[in-house]
Amino acid sequence: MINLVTFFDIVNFLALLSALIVLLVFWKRTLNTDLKFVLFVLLILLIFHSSSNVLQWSGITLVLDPFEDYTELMEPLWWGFFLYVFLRDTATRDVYENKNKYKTLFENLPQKIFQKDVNSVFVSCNENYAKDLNIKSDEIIGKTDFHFYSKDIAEKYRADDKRIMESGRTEDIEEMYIIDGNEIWVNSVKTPIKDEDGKVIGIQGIFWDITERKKVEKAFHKSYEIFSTIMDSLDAIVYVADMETYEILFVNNYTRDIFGDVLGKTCWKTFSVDQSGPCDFCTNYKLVDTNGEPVDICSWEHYNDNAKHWYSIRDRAIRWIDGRIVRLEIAFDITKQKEDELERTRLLRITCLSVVLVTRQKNLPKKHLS
Amino acid sequence: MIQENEIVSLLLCMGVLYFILVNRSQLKRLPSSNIFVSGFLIYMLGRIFTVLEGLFLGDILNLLEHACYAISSVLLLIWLWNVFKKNERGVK
Repeated sequence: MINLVTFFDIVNFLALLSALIVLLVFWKRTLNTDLKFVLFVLLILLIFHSSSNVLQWSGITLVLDPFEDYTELMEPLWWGFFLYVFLRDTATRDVYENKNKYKTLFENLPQKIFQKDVNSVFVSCNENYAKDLNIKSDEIIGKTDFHFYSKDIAEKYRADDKRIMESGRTEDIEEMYIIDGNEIWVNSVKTPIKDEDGKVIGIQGIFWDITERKKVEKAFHKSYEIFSTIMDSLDAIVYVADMETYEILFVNNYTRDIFGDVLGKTCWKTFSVDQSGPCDFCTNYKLVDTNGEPVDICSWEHYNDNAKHWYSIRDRAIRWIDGRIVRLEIAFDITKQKEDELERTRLLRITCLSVVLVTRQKNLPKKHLS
Repeated sequence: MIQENEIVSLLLCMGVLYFILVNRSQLKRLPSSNIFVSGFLIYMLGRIFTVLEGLFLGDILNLLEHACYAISSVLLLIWLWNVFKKNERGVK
């Protein structure tokens, strides 16, 4: 039994000694210094304990015995200490890595980002914003908007900051400035920064140039205005409707005057009376081919029950601004022509009847009637 | 006979065990953590045998105690070898 114990003690001692050698040989690899130091102490304690046992079973004088009790108490502490140091280092590294990730993101976003304290004094900004201000990002600390912008703009920014910090709510603002005679549009999102207790401790802003987008929007509005002016000047019904949902997408003023504000409503519910579904006379199927592509114009005449007028209609499938195929209808009011036509027909009949009567009275031969 | 320092040492081991259990998910990030933790658990088992050998089965439990220390040390050596030689990803 004693021999086996000695054997285990020797194995224990040799294993620990080997571990210590491995630690010292590969000292510069992998583990950080704190961990290696704790591990070194742990191994020394274990080796001390082990060598004490080896000496004891070898019958050598118990030189180490007086210290053995202390080492026995220290060993579990250093096991735990090693794990604690590892967790602490892991947590520190996580914070460092997260900080690096955040910094990388912060610096590489195309948007301009800044942070200010409660007095609207800059605390930090990203390089992209600093570049705009012709400074380095760390030079912004302690500065205010008055250092970089005209008084009007700086005061406006400050008022925005104050309002947002007081309300505690994020604001999305689109604003235009004239800088060096150029119109500059920016979209800025400003958010109050709060501490753990929810108290506002500053403001964070992110903004980006939307001048190009605004130019496109302006050009679009201008062309839409031209289009609307032309359409509104027509004395004909002009409307555009989705061919699948029958939703009315556009109407001109003339149509609006007759049917009211019908934009967004369903065409067969709006332009016809007592319809429970798409009109029987709907020409949608004639306007596209089997592939759903637009074909020729469809012309027809129709008496509208709702408006109580006759219309000469021209329908056509067109591609709408969002790419879908829609129905464009232009309907000219021909009620007057229709009435004149009816009147002419009526007069003609009266004339014919008169002629017949006169002929009968004068006993003229029937051949004259023709 | 039970010695006071053996009881205190065992209590400290139990404290470390509690620490391991509480932080087990984080400790998985330690390279070859299973080997390291196993090494500690076997070391703790040795401590338990140390206490128990004072109560009964002195010789056998003493043998088991020393066997546990030996196995624990071998596991520690393997763990260190894994960490340094294989240069696993993990702590720096």
